[in-house]
Amino acid sequence: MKWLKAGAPESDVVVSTRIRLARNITDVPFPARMTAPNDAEKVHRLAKESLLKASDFRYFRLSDMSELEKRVLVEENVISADLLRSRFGGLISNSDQSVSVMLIEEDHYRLQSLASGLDIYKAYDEADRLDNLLSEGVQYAFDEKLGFLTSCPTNVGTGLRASVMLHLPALTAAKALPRITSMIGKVGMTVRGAFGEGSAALGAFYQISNQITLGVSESEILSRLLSMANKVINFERGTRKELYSSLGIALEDRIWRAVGVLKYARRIGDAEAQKLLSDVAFGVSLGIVEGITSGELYEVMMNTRPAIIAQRDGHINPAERDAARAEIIKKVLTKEGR
Amino acid sequence: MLCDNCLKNNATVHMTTFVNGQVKTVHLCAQCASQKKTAVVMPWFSFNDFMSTFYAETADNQQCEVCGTTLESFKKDGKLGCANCYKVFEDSILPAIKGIHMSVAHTGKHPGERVEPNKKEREEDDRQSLKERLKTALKEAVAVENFEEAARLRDEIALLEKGE
Repeated sequence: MKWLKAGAPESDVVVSTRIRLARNITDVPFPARMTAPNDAEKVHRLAKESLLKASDFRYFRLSDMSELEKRVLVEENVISADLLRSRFGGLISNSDQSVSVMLIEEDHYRLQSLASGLDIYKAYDEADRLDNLLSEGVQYAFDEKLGFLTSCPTNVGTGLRASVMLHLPALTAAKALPRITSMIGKVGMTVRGAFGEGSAALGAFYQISNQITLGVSESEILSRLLSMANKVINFERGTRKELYSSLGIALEDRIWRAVGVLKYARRIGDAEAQKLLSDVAFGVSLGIVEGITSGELYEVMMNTRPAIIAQRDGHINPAERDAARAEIIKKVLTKEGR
Repeated sequence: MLCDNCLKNNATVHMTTFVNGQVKTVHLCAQCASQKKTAVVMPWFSFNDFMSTFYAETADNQQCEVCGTTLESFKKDGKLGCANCYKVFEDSILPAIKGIHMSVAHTGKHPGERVEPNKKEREEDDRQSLKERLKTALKEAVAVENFEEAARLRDEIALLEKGE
């Protein structure tokens, strides 16, 4: 995963920040009703003409990519799983994939900007520049009253979906998530588990994002999300300390067990690794484990997802993949002085 | 279709999940689905059903002349077909939009407009950090008795403070 870097702002709690903008061309049917390949070509061509002049960008047609390549992009959070179902899907991205445009997903264009840690304004700034670059060559579907028109009315207006991925092991352990979720729901935002099946949040990773996109300006959406994220970050930090002072050695035991398994296991599955790396990151933030940062742990967690390992090492069967994962994690955890 | 779990009853609940990079679709009967602890999408209660409570009652046979979308199809999948649909179905979808966003008036950016949300704060941060750097440089200049440089730095700091 090229865009995720250790040492980012608030990385003891925040993994990453993402901005998405939904945009459409004014005189072409939206993807759900798009039947003519010519229309799809036009969507691709206009984006290429506007964006490829910025030298760092590259264009990909999804139908030209292998299944594995596509799954890697999904695991890296560069594209959505929905894009895989698009007949005419495409991608334009910069070299570290921090800035990209999905072509013909739910909308003609889904612009995306990713940043490590809590960096809402920087991520938005990149997306805004990209948006304006694209609009030089594309006549957007825009209405004075309703703003940017989107395939689904849930995105109309700014078309902006801003989200932060948080690591909340203490609030999860304190069973505080339902309360926080309902609180956040009251102010036009939503919380959901970042990994795992359905509503179960694997490794205590959650995503907070805005729900309302119309009637509020971009600045308002971003500043509200930022203050909400800061509030949750402070809750989490406070709860971590409280848990440690009340649980003491019991908590240390759980964390050192996680370190032990990660250091010595010869095979480890994705879900187990995620859960244990989450525990170790928790321990790092409390000063129990030293010599590694939370950011480095998130990095290794993201870089040991199944398709990413398969692409790197060519391990196709799950047992080989689990062995490769254990090897990578062991190296990171046993580096000198630890 | 039979339930994937019990292989006895008819499957009425269909769940698509994305786990470990793989798309999986599970078909279950209502009974097995209720025993599964994961979030289940009930076929009789979708987001679009939910939103349709906001839709104004108009004739479903209304159709967009550009893309052929009908109001009925919008009610089914919650998706509009093209920019023109917003005009054609305006009366029906405005209440829905209001229901979702509590507003029907865009107050954000226009195409091509540059949005710099915290420009003021960022400039302030830059000014503060510049001041800190100058103050450190001033101390260093005084320490090595470079008074000409120190005087220049002092004036620069004074100028910055005046601007605040």
